[in-house]
Amino acid sequence: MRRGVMLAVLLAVSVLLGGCQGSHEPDEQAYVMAVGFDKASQPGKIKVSYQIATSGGGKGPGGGPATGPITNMTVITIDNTYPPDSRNLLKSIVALTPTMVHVKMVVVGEGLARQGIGDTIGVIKRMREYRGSMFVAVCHGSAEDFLRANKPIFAMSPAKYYELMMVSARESNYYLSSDLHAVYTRMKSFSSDAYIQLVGVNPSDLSGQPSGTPPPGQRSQEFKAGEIPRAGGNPVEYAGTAIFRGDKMVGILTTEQTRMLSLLLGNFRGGFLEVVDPLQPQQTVNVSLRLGESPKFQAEIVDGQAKVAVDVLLEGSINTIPSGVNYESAAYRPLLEAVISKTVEQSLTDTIRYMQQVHSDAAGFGHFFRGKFSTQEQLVAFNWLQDKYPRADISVHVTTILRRSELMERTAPIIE
Amino acid sequence: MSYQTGKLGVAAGTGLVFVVIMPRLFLTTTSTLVAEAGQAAWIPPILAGMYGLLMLWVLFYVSSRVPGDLFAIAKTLIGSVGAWLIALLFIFFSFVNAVSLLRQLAECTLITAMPEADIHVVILFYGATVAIIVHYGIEPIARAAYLLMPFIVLGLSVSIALLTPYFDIHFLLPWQGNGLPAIFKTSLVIGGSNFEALVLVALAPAFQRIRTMKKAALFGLGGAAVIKTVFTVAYLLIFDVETGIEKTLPYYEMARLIYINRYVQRVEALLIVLWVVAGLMATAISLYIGMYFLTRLLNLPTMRPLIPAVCLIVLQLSLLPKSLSDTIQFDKIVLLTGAFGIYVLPPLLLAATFFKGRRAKKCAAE
Repeated sequence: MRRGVMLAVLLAVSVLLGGCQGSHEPDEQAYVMAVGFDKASQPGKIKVSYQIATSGGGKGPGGGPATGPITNMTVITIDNTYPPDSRNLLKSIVALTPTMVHVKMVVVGEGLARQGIGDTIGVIKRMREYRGSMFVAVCHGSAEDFLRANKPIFAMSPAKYYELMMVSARESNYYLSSDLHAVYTRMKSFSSDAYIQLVGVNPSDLSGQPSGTPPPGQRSQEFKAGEIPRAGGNPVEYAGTAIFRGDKMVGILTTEQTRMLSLLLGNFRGGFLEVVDPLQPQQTVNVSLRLGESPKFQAEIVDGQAKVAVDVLLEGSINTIPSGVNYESAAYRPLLEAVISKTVEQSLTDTIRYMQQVHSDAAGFGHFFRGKFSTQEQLVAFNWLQDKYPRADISVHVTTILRRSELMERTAPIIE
Repeated sequence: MSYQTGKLGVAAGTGLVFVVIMPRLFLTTTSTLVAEAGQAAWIPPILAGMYGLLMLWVLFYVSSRVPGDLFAIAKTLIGSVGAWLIALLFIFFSFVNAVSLLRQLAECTLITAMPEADIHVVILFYGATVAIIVHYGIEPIARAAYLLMPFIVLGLSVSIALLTPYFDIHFLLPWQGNGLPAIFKTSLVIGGSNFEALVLVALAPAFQRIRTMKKAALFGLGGAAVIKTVFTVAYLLIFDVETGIEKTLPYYEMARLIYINRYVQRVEALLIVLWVVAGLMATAISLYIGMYFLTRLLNLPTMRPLIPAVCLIVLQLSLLPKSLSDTIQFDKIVLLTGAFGIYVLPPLLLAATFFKGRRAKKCAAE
């Protein structure tokens, strides 16, 4: 009897709980897949774009798999607003209840990123619908344009598209997957700065031009998002990295520089590199490289000057040798290894110099000085980011070992 | 009499101690710890656990010399007035602890799971649940707590393991954080959350032997201290100090970060249930201890008629803080009260034991 009464009481109380009253059917919700933030026309406010998927995301007619570009996404842009207020205004536009819990990507326009993203990121970090594992991108242009132009060409849901783009970033390391948690943590750190992948809209007319001049020995061209010479496919592309000082974007790393950053971060999983042929400089050798071990950092403070020595070990395999020189053999291999080491070393040095020049420690060199101090007070007084980093003496040494040559043991010359 | 405790073994004692001191791990305490001790925030939990064990061992020694529960021991050693004061301290701490836990749990439920719910309804629901748990008495509570333990340990371990991709070892440096004085000061204050571990001596007759209590203290308090330390290390490895101090709910924020692939993510909903159950159990144990001392103090034949009245008062008191921020400040006062109890009470009773023993020898000699 008593148990029955208790059960009745518990059931009665549970019915009163708001969880049930606050529930929404899945087809009553507007699932926002990506949010874009841009500078607004009025100072102090922002422009917010919501990319919303309808509930049949990724499905073709009759519920079967879609065969063409996904069209069941819509973008709604609200100007001169604030992130929470734009959410309220969004409700005035769509009949469904907007929900941000499935947001996969937060895109920030370059203009706003250069102005500072602290306020924007700070606001969404406080809201329970946004989570640290959401991906973040800076658009080389406007976030609104990116969201409107984004038409994934292979049939998949918008959520899957964003996730696959991020997960597969490691295939080339020309862009680095960055999430809200890492960006926010680095923005507030005393010993590192944030970096965010760069995205852009490509005109798709083969008019793109490479950025900068590659270091001597490197034949691979360098690009930024929106500038890859290509035609066809999804107009949007991911290439390069936006680097920050505090909450402000201060520079852009090209695709190769992004690779160098990933080498320094220790998350370079592999990629192709084209270098000059050591014995026939008019020819190009293609190798695939990966980190042989995590890079080693040796940090010291000498007479108030911060010094960092970086040791990078690369392992690789030879892919193509158009010249026919037998670099697979022990006699010639060291020549090729030396060229690769020198090229990557130069590229790394240039990238580090550039980051120092714009005062952004995206590689997190400051982390290696944390162990030099006993307390947080001493670490703060060291003033790494503002004072020591820009004039730090950072040297790099790269060692390359070509361990294999894929499916060919030696290269026989072509008989003409 | 219904407040008679029955018989409790090592497992039940371990569960009781573990569950009563763990829930703050799921609340704001970890970010408070990081704010106080910086990168060294993982040291205070282990130090506090060691102080707690030391104080318990002192009480076990006293308990081996003077039979009975804590109230009876205090009465024998320092007289009725002293025993009354000690009982009042326990009653005060247990009730304010329950008030603080109840409000924090309700607030966290609103933040994490049911933003549209009315806090009064949530507190009423939690209060009713706690009352029902207390109604069953300490023996079932202790056994249920023991059953809950593996789920807490497993939940925390799996969460931490899934978060390893976010770890950055540099976030633990500089190793002294805000400095050694801050570490020791924080460990003393945070030790207040271990006050309820004295439940072992408070209910000493239920455990029958000192050895049982010692084992329960070691596994319960020691295990909780180790888990709190591991959790704080993981928290620091993920968030660093600057963002670590910002979080209202460290564990929830950690659980929300879990992203292994498209299929293993958004697992926090599973873990919310865990900390709500653990929190309600801890609130119930705290209330039971308070009511146990109230019953002993007033020499009442039974505790049960007190349950609805006390739960109602606690429930209403928990609605007094104006905001969650006020509740967190209130919780700091609760911890200070607990710290006072755990560091003052055992040495006081030990001194009284020596004094009494010496006087008894003197009288025998005369």
